[in-house]
Amino acid sequence: MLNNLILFSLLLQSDAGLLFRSDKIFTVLTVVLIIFSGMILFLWNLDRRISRMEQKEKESKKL
Amino acid sequence: MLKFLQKNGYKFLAVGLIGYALIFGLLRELPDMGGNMAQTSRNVFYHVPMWFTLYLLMGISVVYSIKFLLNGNEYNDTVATEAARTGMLFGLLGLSTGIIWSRVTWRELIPSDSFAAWWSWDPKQTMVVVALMIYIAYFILRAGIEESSSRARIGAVYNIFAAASLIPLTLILPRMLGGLHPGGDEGNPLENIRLSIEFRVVFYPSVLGFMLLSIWILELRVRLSLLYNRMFDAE
Repeated sequence: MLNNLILFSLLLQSDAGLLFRSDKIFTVLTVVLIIFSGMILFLWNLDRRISRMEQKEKESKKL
Repeated sequence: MLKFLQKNGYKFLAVGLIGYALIFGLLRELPDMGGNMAQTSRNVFYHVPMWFTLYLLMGISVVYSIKFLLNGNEYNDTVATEAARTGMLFGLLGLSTGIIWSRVTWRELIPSDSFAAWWSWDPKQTMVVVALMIYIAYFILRAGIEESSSRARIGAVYNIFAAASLIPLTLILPRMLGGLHPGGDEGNPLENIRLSIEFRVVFYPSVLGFMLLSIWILELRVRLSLLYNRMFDAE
């Protein structure tokens, strides 16, 4: 994630380079990356919730 | 910390690789493949990994089905089912993205107002649907068997036949028949000289990234399914 952000900001700064040469592809990229990070955060959240359920199950079995 | 990385490292790798494929797949200068392929050749980074991922998941599915038949452990049956279900997701994504891509690529050959633009009966496209239907039948078969141990056993045997039909249907037959997909008389598209190094440096990381992402989704589904089984089958 952090890795991507660094890459992303590097690309932002190099305005002479590959970014702004062609159309508005950058806008599309931003949209795609926002959707992708949203989905990943969602998946991460789901992962944690399932972990919590497994934890609770373990605890209730001990009792 | 180390334990955290061991458990979640591959998830970060998946996100990093797909992020890389999204950024450089869209921004990178690529050799012009001419005609309608000019910019849409970037779809190779997103459409094709769906199919690689499908083969991986169906492969996992059949391996766990065989494991189940060998040792009768129900965990293996759960992994096999969930892998096939996750594989269906990637198959449907690959199918729908392929339709969009072919509409643009074959614009001159197939007018976009004809039905063929949506469905051209291209061998690969058609055979993939046949293969996915074989897997849908697998889910229906499982849903129809009440008793859980025979459901697992019959399902596992069926799954072996489903997996055995996947490769000839989707990889061998379409190559022999030609059609809209590359790889007919040109040989393996991956060895095609036109898929040059500029494509490969984005394509392979993308494939690996989507594969790892699918493993993550599979892991979640398996854990959820096991939780469900323990909660409701124990009673």
